[in-house]
Amino acid sequence: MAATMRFFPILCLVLFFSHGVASRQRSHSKEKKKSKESSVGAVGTSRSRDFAFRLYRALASEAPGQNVFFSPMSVSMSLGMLSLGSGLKTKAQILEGLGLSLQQGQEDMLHKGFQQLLQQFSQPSDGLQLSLGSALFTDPAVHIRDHFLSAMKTLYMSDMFSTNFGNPESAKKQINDYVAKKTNGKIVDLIKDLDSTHVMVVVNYIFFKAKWQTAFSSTNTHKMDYHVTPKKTIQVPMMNREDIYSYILDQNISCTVVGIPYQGNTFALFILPSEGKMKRVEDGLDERTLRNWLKMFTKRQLDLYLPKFSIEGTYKLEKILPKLGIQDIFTTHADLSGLTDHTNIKLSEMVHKSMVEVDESGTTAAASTGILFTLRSARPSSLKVEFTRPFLVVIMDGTNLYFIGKVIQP
Amino acid sequence: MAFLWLVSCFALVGATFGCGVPTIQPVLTGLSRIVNGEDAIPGSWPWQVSLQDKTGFHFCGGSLISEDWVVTAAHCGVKTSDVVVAGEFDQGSDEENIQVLKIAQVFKNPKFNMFTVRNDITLLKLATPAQFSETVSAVCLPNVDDDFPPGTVCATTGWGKTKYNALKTPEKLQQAALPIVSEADCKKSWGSKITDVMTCAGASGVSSCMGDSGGPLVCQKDGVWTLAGIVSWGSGVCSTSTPAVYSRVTALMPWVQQILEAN
Repeated sequence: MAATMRFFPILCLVLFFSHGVASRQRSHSKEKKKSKESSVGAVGTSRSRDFAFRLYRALASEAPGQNVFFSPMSVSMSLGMLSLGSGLKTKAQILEGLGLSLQQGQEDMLHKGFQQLLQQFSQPSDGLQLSLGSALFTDPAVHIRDHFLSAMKTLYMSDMFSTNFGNPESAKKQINDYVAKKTNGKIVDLIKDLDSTHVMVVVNYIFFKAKWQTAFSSTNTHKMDYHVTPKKTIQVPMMNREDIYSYILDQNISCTVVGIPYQGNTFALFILPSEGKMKRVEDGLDERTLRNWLKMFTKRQLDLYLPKFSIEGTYKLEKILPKLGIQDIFTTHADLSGLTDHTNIKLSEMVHKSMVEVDESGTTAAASTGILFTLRSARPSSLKVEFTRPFLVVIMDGTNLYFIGKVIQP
Repeated sequence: MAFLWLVSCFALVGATFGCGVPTIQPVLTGLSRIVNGEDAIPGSWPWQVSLQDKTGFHFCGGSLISEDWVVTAAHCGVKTSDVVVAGEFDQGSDEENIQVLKIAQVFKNPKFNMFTVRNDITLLKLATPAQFSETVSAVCLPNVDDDFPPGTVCATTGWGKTKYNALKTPEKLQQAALPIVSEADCKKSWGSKITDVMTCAGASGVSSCMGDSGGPLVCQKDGVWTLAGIVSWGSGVCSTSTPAVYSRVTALMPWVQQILEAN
């Protein structure tokens, strides 16, 4: 039988950040006016995305053989907020970790970019459930500067709460209730335990569920074998849709990449390493690879099998970020003079939680089996791609990395 | 106009092998179908060709529109390393007087869109002309303003699968009689996928299927068989109660004329 013919033009799948909402410029004593484009650019610069991949590798190495799932955008947002409250040395460390520098322009672009992003996300959007935010919980003895409170709310839509850490159960309930409320009950019990000596905790959360541009048909979802390891096989609900997708076979790092658009500007990349090549793919994942994929995508008819899954990740970033050079803020060397006039204050804990649900829902109905659209050529037109072993997932728009994850067990 | 000359040329050879007039008459019963199909009478659809790759694998059909030109579907992805086989009926036979013709050039409609399968038409220029005979001759092309109204009973032929999950295509050429389906009725099944460069037929107990792509949907007009459609796409299980979709040749004639004039 002849090899499958590829006869599609190369189509660039670069999408662009959209300014869905006009942003009113706000005056601020330390702000300079910046154009929207340059502000947004800072958020998605290649160096800040390299932070994303470095963080991925740090998280993955902490949990070998387990699912990994986090939001680079959300974590960066939290760090941006904290940099507002940091003195020079601590601030420089945070910004360097994010791939930025202390130059005034870059810092301003960072904050302005996040402000615009948050304003965009705060608008209701059909087919998109996105709950995203950060909050600061501090001991009543710590006085927070009004200036910082104001900037935190204006730029990051963040909340600050006085919290009695001396009563850990009460503090835990306060934090968990807040996050549950903010995520409409999607993220509960974020905090499992708290140390009574804590004085400051930042929580950062993001829940995402969106409709595909084209739905999968739930009647096409069936239990299929999924190989968690070569020796362990489980049955998972597997979605199936034969359609035109964005597709790359990356020979350099040994993987297949399938791009699927959500409604709007967001899309997901599902990355299936060749057999036994997960480590190779993880090591090769970086800004340059991602940019190449977006440029090199071709359209291909695929018979796609993708698990229906829900994945989450919870991380104590105070243990992870030091590996990326962001350490002072978590130690007695922290300089949080922009946030409080108390000395010797450090951030006790920084908790990040990400959650995504992937199911069949879409804007355009999928064809049912009998009405599935297919070409009438006898040349095999559909390449079968089965995500029946561990894979990676990236969810993004053309500029911002919403999520990076590794699904070992769906 | 060059095309008029081409038409005149057809007319001149009409006495011997006029377009759309098979020497061996096809016989269609109302119950024939490609899915669960009826064998054609050998040689009765003389414009039907098989497109095969270098291994001899049949992947699509096509139609001779002259000694030098074959029309097929763009999505078939024909390359010049593929061949056109004319005068064939039984692909399992070694005894037929077939013509294996090389392809000089592939003209894919530049407006073809794989997403929407619009403008699904390709013209193949043969490296050497087909030798017309009683089993090899051309189908007529329609005029731009020709109309094939819903309900008109037409014919489609091909070596497409007779069941969507069959492992092999049939060896003998299959035929089916089927009505043109109105755009409104077709959209009841396919919605906005149906565009003005498509026409629908079937949903009457018959269906084209995989391997038929590029082949003809022909209707009789003024006593001659005229190419109304090119097999394009349809139900994934080749449902006989869902219309199959064909490229609308009348809408694509300006491009066809342009290519024929220029080459």
